Amino acid sequence: MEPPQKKPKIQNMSTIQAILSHEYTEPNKLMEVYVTAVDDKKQISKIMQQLATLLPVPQLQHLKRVKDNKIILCSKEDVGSLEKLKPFLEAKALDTAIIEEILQKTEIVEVPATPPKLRWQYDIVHRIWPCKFHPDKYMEQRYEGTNFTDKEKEFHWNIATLMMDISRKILDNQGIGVCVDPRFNSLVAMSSSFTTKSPVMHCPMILVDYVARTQDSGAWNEKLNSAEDFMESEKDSEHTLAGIPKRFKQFMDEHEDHKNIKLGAERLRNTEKLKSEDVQMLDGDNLAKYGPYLCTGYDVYLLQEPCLMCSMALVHSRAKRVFFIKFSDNGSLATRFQLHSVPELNHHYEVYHIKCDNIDMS
Amino acid sequence: MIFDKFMQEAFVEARRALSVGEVPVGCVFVYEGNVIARGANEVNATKNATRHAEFICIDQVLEFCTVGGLKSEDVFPKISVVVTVEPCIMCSAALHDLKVKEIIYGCANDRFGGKTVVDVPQVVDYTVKVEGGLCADEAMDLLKEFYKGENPSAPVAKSKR
Ligand SMILES: [Zn+2]
Ligand SMILES: [Zn+2]
Repeated sequence: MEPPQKKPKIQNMSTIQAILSHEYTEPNKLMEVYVTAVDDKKQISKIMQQLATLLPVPQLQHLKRVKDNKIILCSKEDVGSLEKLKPFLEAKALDTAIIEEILQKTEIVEVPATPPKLRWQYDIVHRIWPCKFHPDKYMEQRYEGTNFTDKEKEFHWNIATLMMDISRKILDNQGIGVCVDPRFNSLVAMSSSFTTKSPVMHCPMILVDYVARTQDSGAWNEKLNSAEDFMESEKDSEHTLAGIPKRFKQFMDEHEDHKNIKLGAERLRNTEKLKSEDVQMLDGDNLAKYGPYLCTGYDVYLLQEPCLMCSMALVHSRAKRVFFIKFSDNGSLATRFQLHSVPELNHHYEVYHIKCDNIDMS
Repeated sequence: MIFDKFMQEAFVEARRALSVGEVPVGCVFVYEGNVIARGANEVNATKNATRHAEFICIDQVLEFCTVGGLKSEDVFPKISVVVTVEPCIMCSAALHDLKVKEIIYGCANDRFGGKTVVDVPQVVDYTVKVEGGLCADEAMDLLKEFYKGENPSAPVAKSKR
C-alpha cells in the first residue's frame, strides 16, 4: 500500500488569525467572594437550600456553588468587611442557627468572575473553582486558526497576493481593497484610495461605493468617473463588472498568477420588499435568499487594517468578514480598537489578519 | 453663536429625508456664520450605507473649497457641524479626522453614537468639542415617525441609523 499523499502545502505557509475580543484571548478575571466551610454533608444541603432561595448570586451563575466542603455565600463587594457579613445575612432573613453555622468558618477566596468561553480558559478556571462550560466548536476553531479548509486558505491567500502585487506594481504601495462574493469566490469590486480628491475617500469608503455601482447606484460616480475607467459587462450577462476598474482587470489579465480569479457581482433582483419581522429570522443567509443589498454576505479584503471611520462604514454596509494584511497605526479592528467587538452594534463581522511576514512588503 | 436657527435648517433637511423614505437625519455645516453645506441621509437613494447627512455635507464643503480656491484643511477647523441626531461612529470619526471646530447635535444615538456607544476621541486620539441636546425631542419625534413606518427600501435590514 502506498503511503497517503501529503496535502498540498499552502504557498508560503501564510497563517490567517481571527481577531477575537478579549473575552476569548485573555484569562478570566477573578473576584473575591465569601465562602464558608462545612464538613457535615447534611448541613451543606440544608444551607444550600436556604442560600438558593434567600441569597442567589446571579453574577456567579457560571460557577457551581459548592467546592468540596466550601460553599459560596456572596461576593465580597456586596458585603464589605467581615464584620458586616453577619448583619448582611440577617437582612436576607436566613435562619439564626444557619447563620451561626456559616460564620464559624468563613474566609475570602478568589473565583472566576466571568464564564470561560474557550477550552483553554476552562482548563484554568476549573482548577480554581468548579465551573459550567458550554463548548463552542466554531469559536474554538477560530481561536486555533483551524476554521478554514486548505482550499479556503488558498483562496484568501490568492486575494492577499493579488492585493500585494497590485499595490506594489501599480499603486506605489498604496492601500487596496477587494470585495468578494464568497458564494462564487468572485470579485464584486476593487478599489484604491483617492485621498487626493477627498480626505474621506479612503479605500474601503470607495470600495463600498463601487459595490453600490454593481447595484445600479453609487454616490461618487460623477466624482470618480474622471479618475477611474470601469469594465463594461455584456448586456445579457448574469453578472456585472461595474465595480471593477479597468486597470485592475488589465493587470490581472497580464499576470499568470491572477488570471484565473473570477470577476463579477450578482445583479440586483426584483424581490418584493420585506417586512422587518422576516429579517430577524433570516439573518445570515440573506444574500442567497434575496440577492445583493449593500455588502450583505460579502467578504472584504484590505491591504491595510481600516481606520475607525472605515471600520464603521463596513458595519453599516453589513460586510460578512473583513480580512487585512498590514496593521495600521490608526487601525480600529486590532491596533487601537476592536470595533467588531462592541456589543451595542446591530451588526458584527468577523475579522481576520492574514499574516504574510515572510513576504517582502517593501 | 446661537445654533437654534441652524438646527431648524437641519430639521428642514431631516424632514425632506423623511418625505422620500430616508432615515430623517439632517445636517448643516456653518462656516463664518453662514451655512455652506446642507444635507440629509441618502442611503437608500445611493445604495451606499455611508451616505449619512454628514458625508453629504463633507462633499459639499470640498466643492465649496474648490470653487472658492480655499484649502479644505483650513476650512474644516472653522466649521460648526449642526446635526439633528448624534453623529454615528463613522461620521464622528470622519469629523474628528477633519478636525472640525465643534459638533452640535439634537438627540443621542443609542445604537451607533460616536459618543454614546464608542469613545471616538480616545480611538482617533483627537478631541472635538461635542454638545448634544439641542431640540432633542423634535429630533427624536422625527425618528419615531420614521420607524413607525419602517424603512421602505431596505429589503433585508432595518435602516442604518
Ligand atoms: Zn479609513
Ligand atoms: Zn453617520
